[in-house]
Amino acid sequence: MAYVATRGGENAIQQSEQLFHDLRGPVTPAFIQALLQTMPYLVDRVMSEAGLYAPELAALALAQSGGDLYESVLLLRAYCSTQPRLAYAQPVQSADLFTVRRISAAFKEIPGGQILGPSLDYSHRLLRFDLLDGVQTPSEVTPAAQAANKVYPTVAAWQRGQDLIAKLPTPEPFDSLTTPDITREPVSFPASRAHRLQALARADTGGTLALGYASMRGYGLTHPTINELRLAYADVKLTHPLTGKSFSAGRVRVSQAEVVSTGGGTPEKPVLELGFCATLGWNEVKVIAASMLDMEMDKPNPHPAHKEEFVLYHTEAVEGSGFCIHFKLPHYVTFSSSMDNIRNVRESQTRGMFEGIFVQKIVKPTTGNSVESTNGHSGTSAGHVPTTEPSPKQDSVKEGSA
Amino acid sequence: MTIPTAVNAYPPSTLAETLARETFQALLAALSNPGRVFTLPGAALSTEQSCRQIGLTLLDLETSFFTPDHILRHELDQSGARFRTASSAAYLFFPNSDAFEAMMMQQTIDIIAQATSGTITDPDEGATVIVACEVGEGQALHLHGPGIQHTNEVRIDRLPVEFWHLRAAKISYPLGIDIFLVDGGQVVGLPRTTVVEIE
Repeated sequence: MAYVATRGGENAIQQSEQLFHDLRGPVTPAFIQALLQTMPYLVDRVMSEAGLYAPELAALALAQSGGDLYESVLLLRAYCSTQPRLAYAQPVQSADLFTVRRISAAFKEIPGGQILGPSLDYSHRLLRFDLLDGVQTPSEVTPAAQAANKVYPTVAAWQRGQDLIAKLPTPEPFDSLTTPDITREPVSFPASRAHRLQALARADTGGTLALGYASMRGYGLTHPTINELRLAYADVKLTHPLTGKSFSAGRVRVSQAEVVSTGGGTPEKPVLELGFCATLGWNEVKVIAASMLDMEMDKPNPHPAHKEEFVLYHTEAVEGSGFCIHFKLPHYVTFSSSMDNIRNVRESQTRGMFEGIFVQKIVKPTTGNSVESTNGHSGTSAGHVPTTEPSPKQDSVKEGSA
Repeated sequence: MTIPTAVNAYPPSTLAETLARETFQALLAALSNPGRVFTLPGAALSTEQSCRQIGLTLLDLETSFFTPDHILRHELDQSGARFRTASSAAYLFFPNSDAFEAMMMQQTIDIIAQATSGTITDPDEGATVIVACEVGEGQALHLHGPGIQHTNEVRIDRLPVEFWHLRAAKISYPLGIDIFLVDGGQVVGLPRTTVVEIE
């Protein structure tokens, strides 16, 4: 890669940035708060792909970049990389999540019951033009007679009890120095389980959907069912450095999907196999697509677009978008080299054509120097010294151009 | 023309953060200019204080350290870094000038001999050794390598010649250990790329 170091243009760059901000309109604290209130799913998507739970900063990033998702994710990741780590939270178990939505497409009567929670799944997809006119519809959720549970057992735990899913390995105690961390080390393949789940948690929603959708449409080898989909709040539990006691530093929105498919185990004892994805924020489409990809990647010989390396590399939002926009940088040297090649090929072919005419019509050169000296490159016919009799082909060239 | 910088684009830093940043810059400069003597920020530091300041600058809960010095170990525990064995720690501190007694020095060298030089796939895991000495007197070291235009000379006392043999034995680029020599508030960096010749 050859890039041209450019100097100057500071004023143009400054004005360009200013123009961007001027066209976007002012960003006020009230606007950021409104964004936070009215667009939690947009904020969640950015936080998920950034791998940083900071709703106010995510809203700020969105406002500052005019709603450019990739720019917002990059802003958050860049900020995150400057912050020291103060503590590691304790691992979160699904069964401890403060769950507001929890559905299963596999079983109707799952232990704990299906909790619809907040969703647009069953809404009419009609634009509410009345909102444009400022009509305020009082929306009130009718409280249930009996409050729903806060926590629910996992569907997979019940299935494990039925011996339908392989037992979980005994978890090793969390050690910050030995647990793989995708923000600190590059992924190598085959990736560790931790790296894969971390990569999927931060994966680009659009990219994950595109690859996951390809799998669902039939390029995949599995036909999964959503075993459990959850939207929940997770307690961020820390250990106090002095007292050693566990305390909650707050709650974060999390979502997770678990898909199952037949085909696991042995022919004698078939079991269900699992695909899983969890992410910060409530991002249903992403966790469903990613959990299916998780299962697909485990297959011995998946479609090339569902191989682990392909999926994890190409759903990396910041690297992907960064590579894409880097093409806007001056590539004058590389492009100029390509242009030289094109010109050389064209020139040598044209010269071959004219050499024929030249030989026949005007003189009989003893060497080809007069032609070659104008061009140092050895093209297709540069080595051809036209001292022989004209070929029939050259005749036709002459006639054609006469 | 000048480009105006955004006001309040970054959060204000505390005194401790400012000190850590300036210390880090001094350490970076020391590693970039092997053999040149740099002064750590802060007034008239003792060697022990310098080691503590370097430790609190470089360590956080994502890394690990070892030191035979109990006081320093207690102080560096504040950083959140994990205390580990000499062979697995990322940073090793030898702040105690008492260690220069012959027997103690041998122990120090035995400990440094255990320090990791990294692996071929992860040479960045090579340990960093912070060791007390006297700068400006004693053994003349002739240095050359990246960051030194021709050769550089620095005099280091209270480190036996075995120390330099050990350093040479631990380095096989890109593997190796990086060293900071500390004397009071002065620091000299010796990255693994520097070749040390002794007379």
